[in-house]
Amino acid sequence: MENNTFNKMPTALLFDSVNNKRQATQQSVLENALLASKLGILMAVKTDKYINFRHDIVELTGRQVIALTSILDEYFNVNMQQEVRDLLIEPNMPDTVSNDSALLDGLNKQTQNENNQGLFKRIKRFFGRQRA
Amino acid sequence: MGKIAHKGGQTFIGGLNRVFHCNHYNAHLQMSILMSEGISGHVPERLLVDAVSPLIKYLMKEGYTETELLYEFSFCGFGKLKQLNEEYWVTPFSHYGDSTYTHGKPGKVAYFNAGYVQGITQFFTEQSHSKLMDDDNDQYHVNTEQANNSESYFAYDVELSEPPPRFEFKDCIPCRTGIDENAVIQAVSSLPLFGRLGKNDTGLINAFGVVLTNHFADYYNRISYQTYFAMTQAGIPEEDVKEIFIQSGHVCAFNTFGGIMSSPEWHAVVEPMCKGREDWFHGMIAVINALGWGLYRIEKIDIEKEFIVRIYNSYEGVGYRRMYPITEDKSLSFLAMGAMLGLVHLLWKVDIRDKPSLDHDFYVSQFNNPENSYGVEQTDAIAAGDDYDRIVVYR
Repeated sequence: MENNTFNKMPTALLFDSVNNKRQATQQSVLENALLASKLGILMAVKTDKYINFRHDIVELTGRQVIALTSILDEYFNVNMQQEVRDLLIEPNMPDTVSNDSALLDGLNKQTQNENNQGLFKRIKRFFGRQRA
Repeated sequence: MGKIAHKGGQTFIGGLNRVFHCNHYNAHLQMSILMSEGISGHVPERLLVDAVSPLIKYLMKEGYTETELLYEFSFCGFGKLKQLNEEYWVTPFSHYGDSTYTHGKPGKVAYFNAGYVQGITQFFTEQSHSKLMDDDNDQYHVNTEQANNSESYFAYDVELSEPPPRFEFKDCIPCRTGIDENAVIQAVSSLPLFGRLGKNDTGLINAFGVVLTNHFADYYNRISYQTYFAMTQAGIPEEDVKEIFIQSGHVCAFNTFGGIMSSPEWHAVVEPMCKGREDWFHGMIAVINALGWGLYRIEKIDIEKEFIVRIYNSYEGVGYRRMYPITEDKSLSFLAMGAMLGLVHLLWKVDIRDKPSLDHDFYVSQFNNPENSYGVEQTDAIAAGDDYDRIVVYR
């Protein structure tokens, strides 16, 4: 992952993932609006660059991904190094997906229809299908 | 302890405005303040401590003795504070140590208590032990260095206004309600909402399913606005900063208002006066008018469109004016906005009358669901030189 290239990340899946991890460690679930505003402010304070986590997808440089992982650890008490990496859509992937809304539509359908599947398996399989 | 007085919807003890707030509000507000850690020239951990000391110094100038300050610490629900020796103080029970939380790693979160000790001793103080970090108790270390941030942050004199009677002001759309506001205020004022200092007491105020404090309004204002300025000057969009503070008010409404409207006291005193949902709204506004937050007056209820409330002598507006010059920004009463939005949500997004279980999972599930959500804005502000704060909650 290069530090000067952007990686996309779907925020809804990030929030789900944070809450799954918090629940797994007997911590309270947080509402999405709170997660979005806290992350936006904390990213701005820690990296000098504001990122709006209310958007469906955020774009992060390698440095910002590291900052996000550290913020999640410090301010949300969850170690999500691996999960954050799994949520990233690598920079070359959007070539096969026409735009973000198509990307999200597909993701939403997947998540609605296959609730029993693991979150990250669903994401990976979706992108695998897009590439094919 | 100082004299308790009431004026224009505000409550004063020892000459300082006091407001009731719950542990959820205190936790969320403190969490919001701590998010500003890392902004150049702004140290939130010290702000949370240093904002207390001038208030204690003020009370000492008013004639408070150390014994009276320790009594008042418990009376106002902060817990029990004792001096262990020359260097250390301890809180065997404490609101901030026991009842607040952050979403982050467990840490030394009782900044307020450290500030209270710093105010009494006038020496730099910080928390040294924390039960949350598996220490036996919460302790505070008094340094040999003189505290240098104890000067008053009140820069301006602000006169309180004379609020109009209910429904008797220009542009008010009169409402019919069976709520007897004076009876409700009297009933709330007669409740034992204070902490006790006896041997078997905790100095905490457990009521309505939450833990209350009768807190310094100026403390809330100082930590909120200093952090708001620091965050916006650091380039964080104003809307985001405001939203995080408004969310604290929303959480406060859900827990405290929800707890009040589910309490035996509510069912005994207020509910018998209610016919419909609007009466519950009127009833809760009457209760708010006993909390020291200022005087809330309903201007309009249009359940299809909007709810408008004016606040005379709002503690946020008046507090802002005591510290800073008049601003052009008319949306700085964050607590009031969040609280009014939360109240409308409790009645019209979910229906509190159905007695839902008001736990955290319910909160998250409801407020992650955009259906039937409302928006909020402030159109008039004492901070901007207006006569009152005016909050509009709209569909």
